[in-house]
Amino acid sequence: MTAPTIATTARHRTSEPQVIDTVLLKTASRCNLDCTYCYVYNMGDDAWRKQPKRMSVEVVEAIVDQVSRLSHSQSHPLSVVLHGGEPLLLGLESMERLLHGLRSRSRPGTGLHVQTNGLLLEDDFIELFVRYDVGVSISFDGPIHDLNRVDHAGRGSHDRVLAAIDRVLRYPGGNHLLGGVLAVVDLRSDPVAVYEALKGTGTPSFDLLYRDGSHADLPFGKSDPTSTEYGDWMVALTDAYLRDPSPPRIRVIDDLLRLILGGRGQKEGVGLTEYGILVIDTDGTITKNDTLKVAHVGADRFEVARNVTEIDLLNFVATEEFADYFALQEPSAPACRSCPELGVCGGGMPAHRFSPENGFNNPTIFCADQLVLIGELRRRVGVQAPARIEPI
Amino acid sequence: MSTEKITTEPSTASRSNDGPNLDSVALQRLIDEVRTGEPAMVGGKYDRTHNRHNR
Repeated sequence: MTAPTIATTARHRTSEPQVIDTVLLKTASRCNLDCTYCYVYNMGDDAWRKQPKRMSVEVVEAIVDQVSRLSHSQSHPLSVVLHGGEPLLLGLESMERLLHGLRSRSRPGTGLHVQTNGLLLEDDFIELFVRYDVGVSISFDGPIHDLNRVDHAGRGSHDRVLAAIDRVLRYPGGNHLLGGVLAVVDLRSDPVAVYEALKGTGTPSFDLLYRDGSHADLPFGKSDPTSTEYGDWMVALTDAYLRDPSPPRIRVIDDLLRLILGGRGQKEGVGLTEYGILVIDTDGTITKNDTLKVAHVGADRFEVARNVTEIDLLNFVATEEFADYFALQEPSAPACRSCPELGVCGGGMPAHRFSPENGFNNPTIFCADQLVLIGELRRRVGVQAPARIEPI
Repeated sequence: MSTEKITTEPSTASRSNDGPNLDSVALQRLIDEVRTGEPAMVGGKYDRTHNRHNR
């Protein structure tokens, strides 16, 4: 099979307003788990301590008003993602106020979704999510779940999370809500056992994230920037996936394969599609992509703090400052710009590119891993890498 | 930490004993989707939370 044409040219900023793909709401600033690897609580940024525990009615109402207007202003539909901390700590009453407002006032087709650890996912919340058509994604790491996903008393959450997944799948109308399960790779685990455990939950799809890190702070288990522990782990899991006669979906593998085959990617941090992501913190402060916390303290903050209760969101997304933040997604390192795999890899998450010396102007710390994984996927589909390109 | 050692050469070394998996169910599903230009939805609809975000 010949290599498809892959867009590897750099994109350039325009003066047009940035299209917002996702508004991520930190509905609660605290969590009922204390996961060892959490980028919110356990990677050095303690900004959460200054936040109220949950969104106030005033902030919820401002969000409903502003996000609804934003949704009507774009031709491209946006999604609202409830996140935290643990988003269900918002409480049932405020959650209903938020969902009712967004569903009744936003443009039809606006996506509503929640990323939860599942511990509070009882029938009352599930009923609410069914009523307002809220997609649910549950964090579950498989057989080594309890190594990292523990509560504040140090107790594992494996069994409670499995029970939550089961409750959603069994609830009338609930099985269509479960978008999938989200797992974090732990190199101490057996990738085939992880594959089987995640598939065994009954989820239609799962995704895998690498442990966060950067050139300043290597991800757990990675010995140096050129080592390939994560790539090798993923290749072993991919073996199990591609051999399975009844496979679920694996988001990251599917996306890489889709791009190799000449299709479009759908996932943040893979391929060259840009996603306009706006985050609203628990007190209403508008921030950048919250995963930037991984790079350094305050990396997710705009220079001037703005609150959704005080400013016009439509005006803000048209500002130069927002455009600068948006442009951060574009891989800028010379090594990336000339890399034949840029169109598939996409340069990874900006947070994973960070070094104190060069800022975000580096390849991802997972560069070597991604090259191993993409090379193996190419071999499996018989599509060669395009020739090396010259930077523009 | 230096980033100079990272090269971006595509990998050609095999990490697996398996050959091409063109009869793979997962792969055939994707080939069909790319041909038609539309990803299949899971869980009854396209879910951006799960499908897109690294959190």
